[in-house]
Amino acid sequence: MIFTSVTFIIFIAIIFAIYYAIPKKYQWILLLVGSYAFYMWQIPWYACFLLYSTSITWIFSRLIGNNNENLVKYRSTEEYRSLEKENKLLFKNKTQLKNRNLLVLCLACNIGLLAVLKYTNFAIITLNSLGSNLQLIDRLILPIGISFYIFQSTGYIIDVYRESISPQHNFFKYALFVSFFPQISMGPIGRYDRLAPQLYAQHSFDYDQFTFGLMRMLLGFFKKLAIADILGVYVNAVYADTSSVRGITITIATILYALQLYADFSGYTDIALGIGNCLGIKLDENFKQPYFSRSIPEYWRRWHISLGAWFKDYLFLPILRSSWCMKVGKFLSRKGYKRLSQLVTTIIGLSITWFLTGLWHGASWTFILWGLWFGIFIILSTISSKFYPPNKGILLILNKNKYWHLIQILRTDFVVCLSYILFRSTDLENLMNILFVLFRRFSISNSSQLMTNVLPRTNWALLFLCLLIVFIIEIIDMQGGFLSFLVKTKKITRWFIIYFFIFLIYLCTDISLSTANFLYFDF
Amino acid sequence: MNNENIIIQLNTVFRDVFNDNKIMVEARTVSSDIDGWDSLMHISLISAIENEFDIKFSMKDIVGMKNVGEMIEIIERECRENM
Repeated sequence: MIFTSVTFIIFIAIIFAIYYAIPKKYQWILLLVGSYAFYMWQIPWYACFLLYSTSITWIFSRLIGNNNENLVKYRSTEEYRSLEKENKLLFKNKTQLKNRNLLVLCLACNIGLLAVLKYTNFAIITLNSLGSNLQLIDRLILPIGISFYIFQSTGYIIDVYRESISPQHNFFKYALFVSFFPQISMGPIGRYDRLAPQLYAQHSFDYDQFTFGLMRMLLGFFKKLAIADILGVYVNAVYADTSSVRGITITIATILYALQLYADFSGYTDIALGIGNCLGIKLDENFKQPYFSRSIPEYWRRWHISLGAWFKDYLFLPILRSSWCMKVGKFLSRKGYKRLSQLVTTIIGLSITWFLTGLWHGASWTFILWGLWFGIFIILSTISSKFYPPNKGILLILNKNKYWHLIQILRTDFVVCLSYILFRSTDLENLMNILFVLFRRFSISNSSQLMTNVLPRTNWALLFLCLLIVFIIEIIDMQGGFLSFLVKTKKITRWFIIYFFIFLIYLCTDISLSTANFLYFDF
Repeated sequence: MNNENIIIQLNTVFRDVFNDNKIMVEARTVSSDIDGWDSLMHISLISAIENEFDIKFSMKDIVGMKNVGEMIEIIERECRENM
């Protein structure tokens, strides 16, 4: 079920009505039933994969939780107190080893499913290019949201293993945490400690919160329908046949693709968070005006925040804290290269993390290169900050200058836009073709012809008006929040703005004439 | 080891790791209060604290600590368990 479809609007209207009509203790059950109905709407049997991942993770979390509980119980006994310190440690290590084996097995089952469905054909293609002669598997499917819910489950089991959270004893309550419908398709990837208590709590109807949620949803629909889908008409036309266009056209299409992707993904997130608000549930923010970032590391703290935080907490930090990585660091420190040791371990951690970030986005070398592209810039940024600290010398003076900030923002956006050429390319051959056109056929003649062929001038004018509106919203968001500002305005102004948004959406859906899916659905 | 001693030692570690002699940490200090305290520096800081106090942080502690106050509590707990 697509968020922008009429079916979905009817669906959430029914959910909202029942949610506040039934006794509050049954609200979470309604959300579970609604979430599975939402997920099974188009292809019901995809729920088998969701159920598999949910069951596996729940069973293993219970086993790990039981081991921890037994350890705590044993610690309170006289027998344990009478043990020597070494024996106490030995007992603790034994439990930890048992739990680690369970964790590894659970990760293998979950990530294994994702690997088989998402990466088998990619592995076959790669092996064939190296001389093998394997057949591609045609029947492999990629269920919607699998990359997201497997990461959410994986985060949960790691948190249980780390004893950051206690495992959920009720299978159905855990199933709701994994399948909660606003976020299952494209995130934000939820954390159990923040999300689960809200899902199981009893919520009374709160008019202010409900209308705030509706306004946030409207903003999401506006970004998706009035901007992303229309930009998509032009971007798709250019990228469908890159061999017949000029370099300037690719450049414009890539910049517009950056805007399309942001409007699409942040629009989806606004709808998801808006639904959450309407239900009294606060989901994690996923975007904080990323195109105003002054560096690539900052960009990744403001773009797809839940994914970046996931990779940081569950992959990057564990790599840096792993015994083998620390051994490398200690070896270099012993040899007298203390600063180099930190740098080397950081580079190892970042390289693995960004390789896998790229791979998570798609089974293609272009995605891997895209991930590594960011990895390189983050490594360079790390190295440069070691030699030129931002709080010293000329950088300290520059960092207080607004024009320098603007240069930094443009520099970051330039690197991000270049990355989208990798992101949007279908394969390496297509990428080479695009780069050839970009650097060898960069002519500005006839650049506007395709633009007006695809969309009439009046539609471009409308699109730029919508982009300007979003730009202003982003500026207000940085000052404290557009919706908070809207709530505080006079009723007549508020309703005028709301109707104006609805009018723009109405005009623009007439132009795009599409029920285009969200871009991150494919991941 | 009491909290005051810990915070004095901790301040020295912070100044050394962030290469900034003006740093003065207190219980409510958070990462946004100190320039450059990102995830990379956090790991460097954790390693330096581990060496200074001869303790070992768990991943739960590393990811979960919200401010210097929580950091002090963990250091105090680990030092107590090591005795």
